[in-house]
Amino acid sequence: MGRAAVCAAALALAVACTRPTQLVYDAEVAETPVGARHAVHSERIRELMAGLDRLERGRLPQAMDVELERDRRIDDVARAARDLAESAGELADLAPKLDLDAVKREAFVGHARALERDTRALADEAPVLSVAAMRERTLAIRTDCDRCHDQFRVDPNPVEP
Amino acid sequence: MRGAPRGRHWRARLEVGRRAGCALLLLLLALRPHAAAADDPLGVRLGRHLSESPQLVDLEARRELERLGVTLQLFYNQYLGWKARGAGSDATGHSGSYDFFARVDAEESLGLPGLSGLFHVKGQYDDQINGDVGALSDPVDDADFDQGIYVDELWLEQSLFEGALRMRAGFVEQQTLYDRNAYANSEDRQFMNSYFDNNPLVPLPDALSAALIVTPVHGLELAMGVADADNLPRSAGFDTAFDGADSLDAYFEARLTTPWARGDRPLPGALRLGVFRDGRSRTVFGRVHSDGEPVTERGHWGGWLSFDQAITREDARSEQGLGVFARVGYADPDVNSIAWLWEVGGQYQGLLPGRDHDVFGVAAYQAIAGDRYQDRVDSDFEGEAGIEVYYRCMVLPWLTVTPDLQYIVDPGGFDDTQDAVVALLRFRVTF
Repeated sequence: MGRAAVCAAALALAVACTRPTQLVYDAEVAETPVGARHAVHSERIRELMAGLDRLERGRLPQAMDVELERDRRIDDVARAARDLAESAGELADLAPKLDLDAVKREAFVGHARALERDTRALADEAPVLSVAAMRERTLAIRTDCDRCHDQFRVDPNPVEP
Repeated sequence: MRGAPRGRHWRARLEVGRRAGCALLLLLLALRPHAAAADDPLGVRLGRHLSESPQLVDLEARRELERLGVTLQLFYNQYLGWKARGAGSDATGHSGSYDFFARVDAEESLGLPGLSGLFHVKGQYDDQINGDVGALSDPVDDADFDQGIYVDELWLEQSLFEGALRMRAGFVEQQTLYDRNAYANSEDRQFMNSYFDNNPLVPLPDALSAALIVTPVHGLELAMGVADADNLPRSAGFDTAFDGADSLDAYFEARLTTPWARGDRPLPGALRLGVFRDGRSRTVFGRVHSDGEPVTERGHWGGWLSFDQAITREDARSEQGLGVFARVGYADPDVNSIAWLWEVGGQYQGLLPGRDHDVFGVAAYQAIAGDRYQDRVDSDFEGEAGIEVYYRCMVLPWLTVTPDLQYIVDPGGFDDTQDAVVALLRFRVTF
């Protein structure tokens, strides 16, 4: 009985000290400025795809309806991808306000529109894509992110020469 | 189930008739709204409710829980059985079971990276015809015993290095870890005969166990582990799990993913090769101690192969199309009356136009007697063979009805026994 109480207390403490990632995501979306919100959505897609991987490789009882849960989780990925596409569009709309010359501004808008296009395609096609194909699409989206960040992200901790 | 009384008295027959009547009423209820939809507003509403609701009880709260990493699933399975031919008199029977699953993805729900768990509660009753058929296999694998409620699984799994290493420990159904198969691994959804659920030569207890699953390279997965071989049915297992390494079952399985695809449509498939050590105490055929007592031993070895492959797929996500499977098993003939087993079969989902979720399956097995058993115990014992055909019909999104027919050659392993014909009907409700 004593051990059970300790276990229950430890579990209650763990639950009290942590928050579900969906709630963390919801809060971060609300708190993050428009220009940085795409990073929150992108991270959420990564988390959801990792969850899908765990489900797919889970060696769960065949009596469970894993397909049903998989399809619902894919819906969640599609929803997050749609949000990311919206954020990418907002990012492109921000370009005129940024301190960039015309060439760089065009490049910035191009990257943002590429991200918007690829994430919207993922959102639209998710219902008919296999999980493996979705994984490839998310890797392509990450490449979109890296291309833009390589060119425009300011290093917050630059190394002094 | 061995040893069940042969035949049924009139009250049992009445009970079967009553249950069959209930099932028929359920079917009629399900089908009627479609016929009445044109002129009956109530029928239209009822029809919409029955046919469009993804679940009988579609609670938004459950969906919210899933977003937080907690998945709840509840199923009920009802089986009606009829032994139409075979040794002894005809027999009818029925059985039922429910499964409640609570799966927690703790990375989602608690932010604990890579941790997940499963809690599986089950209950069942058995008044089925398995004993009347008298086969080595159980025509209705789901019918095992009478127990209102018990914990069937309770385990935790920790995933490391993005899933490349996974550790599972707890009370585990070994069949969820080893000898898996995409088309022949669930008596609740696929074939009903026990031999098409798992390889009968591989000991796969529900028991305290630990397992390690490693993915060294893409397409290869290695699963290995140990389980308590002496676990008593429906016991927690702490009394028997730690009484020595000799009484542990041990497993090693290599799973290779097949690489085939057709255009953008992947064709999932896998080949699993495994070896096991049987930790149960088994009688060695034909060997006795000086006092006349039979010699018993633990630690005999065997192996298995389980293969499944999708041949066609209608689109990338859909499960529709043809899939085939095969199994082979070997167990030490010194202690097993059946030394070899093979089975082959396949399923086609969406065979009939407009019936995308229906599944047609057909499979055959042969269990081959071991030489030592024939030489030392019973020269007439030859093994058993069987064929099963089923059609799983999704009547409603939450209800499937599966007529099933089995033909069992030499039930029990003796060729002087009349072949058995078994007709079954399964209802599966998803809540």
